[in-house]
Amino acid sequence: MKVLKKEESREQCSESGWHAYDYIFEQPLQTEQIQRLQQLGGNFLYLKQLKHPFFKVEQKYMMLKGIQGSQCVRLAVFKEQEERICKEAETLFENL
Amino acid sequence: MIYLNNASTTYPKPEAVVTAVEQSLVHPPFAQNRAAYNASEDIFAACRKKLALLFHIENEKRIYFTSGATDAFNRIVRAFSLKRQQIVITEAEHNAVLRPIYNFLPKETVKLVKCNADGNIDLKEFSAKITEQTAAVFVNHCSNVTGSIAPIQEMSKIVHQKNATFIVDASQSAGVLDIDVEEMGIDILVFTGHKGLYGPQGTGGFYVSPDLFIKPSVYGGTGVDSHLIRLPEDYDEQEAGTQNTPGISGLCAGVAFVQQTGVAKIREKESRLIDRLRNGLNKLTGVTVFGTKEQSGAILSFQIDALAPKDAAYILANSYHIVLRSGLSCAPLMHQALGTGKSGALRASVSWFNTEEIDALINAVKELANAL
Repeated sequence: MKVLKKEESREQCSESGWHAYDYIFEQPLQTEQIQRLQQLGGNFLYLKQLKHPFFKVEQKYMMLKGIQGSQCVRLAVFKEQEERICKEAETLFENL
Repeated sequence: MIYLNNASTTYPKPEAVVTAVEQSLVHPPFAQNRAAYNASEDIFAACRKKLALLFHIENEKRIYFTSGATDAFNRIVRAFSLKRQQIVITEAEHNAVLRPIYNFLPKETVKLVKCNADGNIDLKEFSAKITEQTAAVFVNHCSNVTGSIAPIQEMSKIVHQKNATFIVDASQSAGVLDIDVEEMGIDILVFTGHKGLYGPQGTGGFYVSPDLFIKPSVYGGTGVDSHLIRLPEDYDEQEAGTQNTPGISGLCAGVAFVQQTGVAKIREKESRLIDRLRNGLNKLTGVTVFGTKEQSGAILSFQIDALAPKDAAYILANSYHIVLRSGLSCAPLMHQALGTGKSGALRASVSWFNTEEIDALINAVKELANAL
């Protein structure tokens, strides 16, 4: 899926110690695409039972989260791994 | 959007504040000793007078403006760092106090008073930490995490028995709680302008008792005594450089708003909202509320047990359009005391402009907690 915009998260403090970016997609994320985000590896949390389902993929140096039906996801990374992780995530986003 | 992050900065601002900032930019500026005319009112003097009335300060000229509480604390701590004497702080302090202290002072000169699991300070321990060697004691009037209110008057007596300087952080209490520097025995009061005083960000200041001298740590042009390059050791000038006229104009209007509304009335409304929130959250399963009902300001921290605070805040903001603060709220030691040192908590904080919309937060938390 096409990424329309990547911007530094305005809520750095809530992701303390991490560098966070908000990615805006051209369309809202749906179940199928959210499931595919598991390919990033790590723990996958998908709270489908919420009115607006929440998902999170978390590993040692990376955390990705968002709300189903929203066009925005937040990717938080440790600075040292930033380039590699952003590249990996962006490749997956393009293929969602 | 339901904005419940007023302990970070109040929003919205009173209309009069917006107008005052705008007008200060439209009209010719107050000259600040730098021109042979004065087309505008001395807004700095006017703001000092209003603040003096609000805090029961006899001599308003002992109030100095800064860019906020952090700036003020850095100046004050640097003044004490020159003497390398013992300093006492509590676990309730914000990083605005902790960071200047731990970065300017040798660690061994700092004595830390612990808070209990509710975030309250034990006066016995407080008293025991203050000795004849103590130069200054820093106390947060109202915790920015639990909203706990420190017993300032009792603490002041303890501090003054040992002839130490009593410095109070009023960042979360100015405009929210009654402050009387004389009655409360406060030697130095630090306030920020953009929270309970409803001013713009980048405003604040500190009051210093007439018996004390704080050596300036920022020097520069003031428009006064310009022939002196090196100033005398006892030169008392804390406001170097051209000052923030739009900011202080807004702050002046904010303080006027607080005075017109009345601190008691503001306190009554905010307490009612926080009590309503506390009662609502306490009824929910899977939700932990921090702090105690007694002696609490306009702040409440809690957590949804099955959800990391930062994720809960993300969901509340993006699914329910409710804005809270999450994480450590720049108070890492207080979170250690509460047992939330790793992930922090969710923090809701109200202002005069909030309403029973607080129920929307209770309902959203209920929905989340029930679903997990």
